[in-house]
Amino acid sequence: MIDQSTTSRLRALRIDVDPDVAERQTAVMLSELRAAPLVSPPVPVVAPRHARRRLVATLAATFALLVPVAAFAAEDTVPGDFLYPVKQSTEWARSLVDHGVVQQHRVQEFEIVVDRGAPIAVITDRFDASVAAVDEQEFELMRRVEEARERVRERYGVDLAPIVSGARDRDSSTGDPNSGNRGTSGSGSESRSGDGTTEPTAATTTTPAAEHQTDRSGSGPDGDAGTDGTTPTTAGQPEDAPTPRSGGDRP
Amino acid sequence: MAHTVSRREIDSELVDGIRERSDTAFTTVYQLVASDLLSFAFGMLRDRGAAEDAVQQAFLELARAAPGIEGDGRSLRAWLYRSVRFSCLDEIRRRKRHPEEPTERLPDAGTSDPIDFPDPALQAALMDLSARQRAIVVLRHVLGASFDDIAEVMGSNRTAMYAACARAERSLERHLRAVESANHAASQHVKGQGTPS
Repeated sequence: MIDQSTTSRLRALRIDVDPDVAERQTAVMLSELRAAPLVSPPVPVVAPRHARRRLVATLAATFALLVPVAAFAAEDTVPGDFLYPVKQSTEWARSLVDHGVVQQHRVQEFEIVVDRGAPIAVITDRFDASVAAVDEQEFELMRRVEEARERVRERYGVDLAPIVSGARDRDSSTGDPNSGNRGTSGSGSESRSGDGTTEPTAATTTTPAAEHQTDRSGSGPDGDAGTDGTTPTTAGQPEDAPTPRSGGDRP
Repeated sequence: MAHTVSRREIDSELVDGIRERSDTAFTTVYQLVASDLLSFAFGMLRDRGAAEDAVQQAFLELARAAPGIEGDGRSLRAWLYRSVRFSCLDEIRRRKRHPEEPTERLPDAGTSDPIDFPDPALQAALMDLSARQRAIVVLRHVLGASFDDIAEVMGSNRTAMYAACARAERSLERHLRAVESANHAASQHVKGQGTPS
């Protein structure tokens, strides 16, 4: 606590305005008052710089609130959506601690575009992305991809390449009779035989969507895939043709 | 002779007059608070010219913002103090950036008058405090403001201001003792030199 003598000395520091200065300052103030516009915008009872500081604090708080809200809203977005860049940013951050988040998101996006009835180009793009992301050991994710793929086949008449065909090929070469059952039964694997040749299936169509798929897989509309009656999917390609889900894309 | 003003508070009639841009209201408010504001600015800057500029700036801002002023007389007084405080902080920052640069206006002839610098040791100790501590001490002990008023000027709350004031007082006492002992040692040194051996 400050002692009494210092308090008295502090009181003595009080000064008064010089009369000449007061007169001059009053004149300047009144002159400014007359020059100022008659109607000023309403201002809060705070000094302007204080108001600026409060504005900055308000903006920072708003930003801090918006970030989690935007991240939440971006959860169910797919490429082309307004908030998809937000999802990509949060995905990158989350992938630092959870490696499975990227795979989850790719599969989820594939499901979303299928449920939305998006154009086949978008669907195949997300399918490729999900196949590239999902590890073959992620049985639950693979099952979801296969289910969504089945919905594509029913809705579009397009049979996308079975997700585990690579594994099937590998397993078949080793003679494992049970390996082909992992999450692929009844999901279009019948469109591909063990020796890599294609067989007509119930999903074989000539819809425009199928033609598009044919284009993407490297065969033109006048190519073999469109003329020999085979399924217009990547499964109908030669063994050495690049497929959208080539094993090299997998992490 | 010093210009003296009464310690009358700013009432709601005066605030209404300010909103209506009445010359009389502005002049009255100036007379009511100009000396307090000057003492505050002088305590912050230890420069009468710069302190007068800060007071002038506050009233110019008030003239521009008059129609939108809200609240009662206490709020208006705090508004003016805040404006002066921010002008002082700007000046302090400017001096830190350009320590060699002289102020734009030359000091008045009276600036060198010892009356303008009462108790130089105390003022030197005040200048050793941080700008925030200095503002609190000047508001509390030079102008006798309540902790509620100080809180309104400093943009804080009463409890925080009470604690901050206690810390500032301890720092002031410490700096004051250091300044006075340094002055005492210097005067002894001068005496020693002046004494014939």
